[in-house]
Amino acid sequence: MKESPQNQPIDPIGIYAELRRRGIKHKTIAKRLNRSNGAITHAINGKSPKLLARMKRYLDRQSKKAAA
Amino acid sequence: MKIKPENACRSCRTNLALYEFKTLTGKLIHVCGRCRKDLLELQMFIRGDRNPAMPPNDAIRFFRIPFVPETSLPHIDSESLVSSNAIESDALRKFPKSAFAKPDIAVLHKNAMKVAMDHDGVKAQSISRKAGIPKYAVDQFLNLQISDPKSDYFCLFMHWIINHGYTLNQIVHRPDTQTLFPDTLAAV
Repeated sequence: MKESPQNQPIDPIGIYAELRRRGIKHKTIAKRLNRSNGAITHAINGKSPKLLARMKRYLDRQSKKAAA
Repeated sequence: MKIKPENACRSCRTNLALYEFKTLTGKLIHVCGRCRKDLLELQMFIRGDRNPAMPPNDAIRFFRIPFVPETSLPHIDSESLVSSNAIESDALRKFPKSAFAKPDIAVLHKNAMKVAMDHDGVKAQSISRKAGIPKYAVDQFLNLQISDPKSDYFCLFMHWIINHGYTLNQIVHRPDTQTLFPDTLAAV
């Protein structure tokens, strides 16, 4: 697994699980990130660091929204 | 990819935890979809609701539940508990393993459960193997404490009780249950 730009290791499954726990469906994640369902799965499996970083940013945005 | 323990289901500890579940104690735990379904069903049973998807009440019968008077708890006698009105430990041995395919629910007194384990010389870790109870059910009993911990009663998924007694609804609504399970009933 590659590291994010901030040199922090990203846990792909953790990010995905956190989004799902917030009630966001797999398909919704794909739609919001303009990717296919398969691409998201690919990222979860740790094979697409760029998309994974994008998922991480999306998760952070969701966290901010939830906190506000 | 390997699932890290912090992302694993708190109940089965194998699947990815994609859902939040509020236990009867009010604790939020992360569980997988399959365990969530089981746990929701369990809560419905305890509340006395019936899942319309489940067979009629009469079709699901439960093993005789150990009703141990609360007054007898401090000086609990393992021999009498097992032989009289607690768990019929023979049933644990005799019940065919094939009957454990689908988990169900029993409400057991924690002491009765422990005594039954000790009586058979079964360690908590190996009870799932010996009795055929799903491992996650044992974990739930030992760690999760789905029921109200103050009440001393625990809910446990078990299939071996089927066809051997009352339905859980009957038990929950029995007058003596109301006195024995007040905390549990109040918690749900």
